[in-house]
Amino acid sequence: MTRSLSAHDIDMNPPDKLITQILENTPLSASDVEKISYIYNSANQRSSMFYGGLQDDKMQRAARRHYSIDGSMEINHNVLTGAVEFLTYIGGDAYTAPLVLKSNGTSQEYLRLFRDYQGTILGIANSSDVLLEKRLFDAWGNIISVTDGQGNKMAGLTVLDRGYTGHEHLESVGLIHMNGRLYDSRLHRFLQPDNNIQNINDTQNFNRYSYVLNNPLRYVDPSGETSQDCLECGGQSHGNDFQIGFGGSIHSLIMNWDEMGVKDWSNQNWDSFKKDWKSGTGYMSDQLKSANGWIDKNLRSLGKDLKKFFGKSDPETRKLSLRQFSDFQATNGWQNQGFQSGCLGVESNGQQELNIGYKKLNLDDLKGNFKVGINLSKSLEFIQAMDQVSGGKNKFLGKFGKFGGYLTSGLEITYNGVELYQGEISGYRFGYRTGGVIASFVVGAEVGGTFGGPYGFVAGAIVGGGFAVTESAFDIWLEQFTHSMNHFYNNMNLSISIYH
Amino acid sequence: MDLKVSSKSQFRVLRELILISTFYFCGMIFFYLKVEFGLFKILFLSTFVFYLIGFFLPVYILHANYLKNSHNILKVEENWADINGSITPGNDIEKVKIFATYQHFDGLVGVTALPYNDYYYYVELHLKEGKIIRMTSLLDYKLDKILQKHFKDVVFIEVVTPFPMIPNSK
Repeated sequence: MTRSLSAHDIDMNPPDKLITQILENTPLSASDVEKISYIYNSANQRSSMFYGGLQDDKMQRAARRHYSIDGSMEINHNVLTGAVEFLTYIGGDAYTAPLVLKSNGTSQEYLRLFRDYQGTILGIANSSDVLLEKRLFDAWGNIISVTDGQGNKMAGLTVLDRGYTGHEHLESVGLIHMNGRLYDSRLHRFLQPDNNIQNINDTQNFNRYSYVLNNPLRYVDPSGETSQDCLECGGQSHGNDFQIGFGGSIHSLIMNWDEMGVKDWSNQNWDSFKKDWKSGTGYMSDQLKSANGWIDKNLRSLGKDLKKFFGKSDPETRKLSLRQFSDFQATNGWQNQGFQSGCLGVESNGQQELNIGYKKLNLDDLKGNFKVGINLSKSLEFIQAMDQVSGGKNKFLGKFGKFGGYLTSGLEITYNGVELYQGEISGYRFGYRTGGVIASFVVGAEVGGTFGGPYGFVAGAIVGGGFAVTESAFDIWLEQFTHSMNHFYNNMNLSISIYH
Repeated sequence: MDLKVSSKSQFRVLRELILISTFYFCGMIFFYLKVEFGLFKILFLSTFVFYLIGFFLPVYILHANYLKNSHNILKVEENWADINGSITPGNDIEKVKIFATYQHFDGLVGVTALPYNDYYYYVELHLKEGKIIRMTSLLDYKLDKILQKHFKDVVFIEVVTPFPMIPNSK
């Protein structure tokens, strides 16, 4: 389906339709360099790009690129030479994949992609771990340098034209195609206005041309329509939601224990602290001194065990990636933290791929069992609380109620953990819910310890309910409010356009 | 009756934490074997935080606090006690304060109890001369009952506290 553009299209700001208009018919067209046109599929996604020439008729231009609908494959075709190149993203799409299979129909090679925390491709190596291309971008996506494995300067992105946050660079015209809109990294601006206001409380949202709230180190824009916090972007998390938010923080801490300097930091502070309290006379010093030996011995041992435990997962790609990463560090002297984070994300993707096919518990069954467990243990809690309220002192029920209390909280966390793993909730939501469970548990226990079990039960229920109601409010009310504001804002703009 | 802070007496007060820990880590081993490693990491690390905050740390803090402040040996007989070699007759005791959670006095634990609620508490013997002697449940988890049994004429005061930690004695 070929689209013809009109002024109406421009006003409505359709995502990809504008590229032809801008490149061919406006002062921004760069028509001395290249003309680029697109055709779209029924889902309004770009399906083919026509480039490599200045001809008005796109069919006369030398090069075409075809995109698969799921984003896993691209085909480059030179109609003059007949050369065809197939790019298949493995373990994700162009924004997340750790691996690309590049083939010309007769021979093929695997390319390893090294991404930073935003998914920007900083390095490309072949399957023999030979570095083919090394890139450096500034925070806004401008290409600072591209070199080969020997450090020789290259003209531009050569092996793959995906780069900044995984997006496609249109180097001939100096733009980056961000799906929904075109982005000029030199201006730090999109060429088309934004139709959405993500957060009405942030004034940056009201600049319709700005890129990711003018904060490109924190956010990315995979769709070109909506910025996304980098706790949930790039090589860090795609394909493995564990790395998001609360769980991700713990995971990152463990995986980067040495590199982040946590060990050194804790050693230094721990030694200093020990010195202080050995010479000091404070209450806490005295308290902790008595337990010093125990903590020193067991906590360090626990840290080591945890690191050993999580650093030794079985999937082969994980080992490969770790080795590969350390080899790269050694041979190229790369100490870039972002690069390293990207590698960790790449490992996780690879790991999840390999895990497919293991004979494990069905996650939906597991969730179902958790749900039953939660309901049963809540019932135990309730029966026991009612027994106490009515003056009963059944010790048997008391023990069951206590067990029910522990089990409810534990199962709720595990249930949410499965939802996080399945991608049904975000890391933020998981962290929020886990915090709610722990807060409800601790408050209930403290109130119960002071005023008695039934009061503790009520206090815990109020805290837990408060968290749940707040979450519902966030889901329902805020979304409605934001939509209303978006409609109001767009209508206001439309009115202004008509008036002028 | 001779009371002493021993491995056995400590095991008694720690038994609930030990039981929960065993149950928890067995569950985690099950998940390690039966679910994908990525999911296991989420389950383990998130529940471990809960375990640490809800179960382990409160007990650990109280245990360390009691170890430091408790008299290690106590001999108690009808109306007198030998505390660290000093004989204290019942007549010299003005009152005994028992600091424990509500659930401990109530005799029921139920829904909102943590592993320390039952067994961790301490008592203060207020002597008429003004001296205060503190003893903890590490001597015996039924210490309050034992004292009440042997000092029938002494006033016992129950002080409810959600976290019975012995304050700074200095």
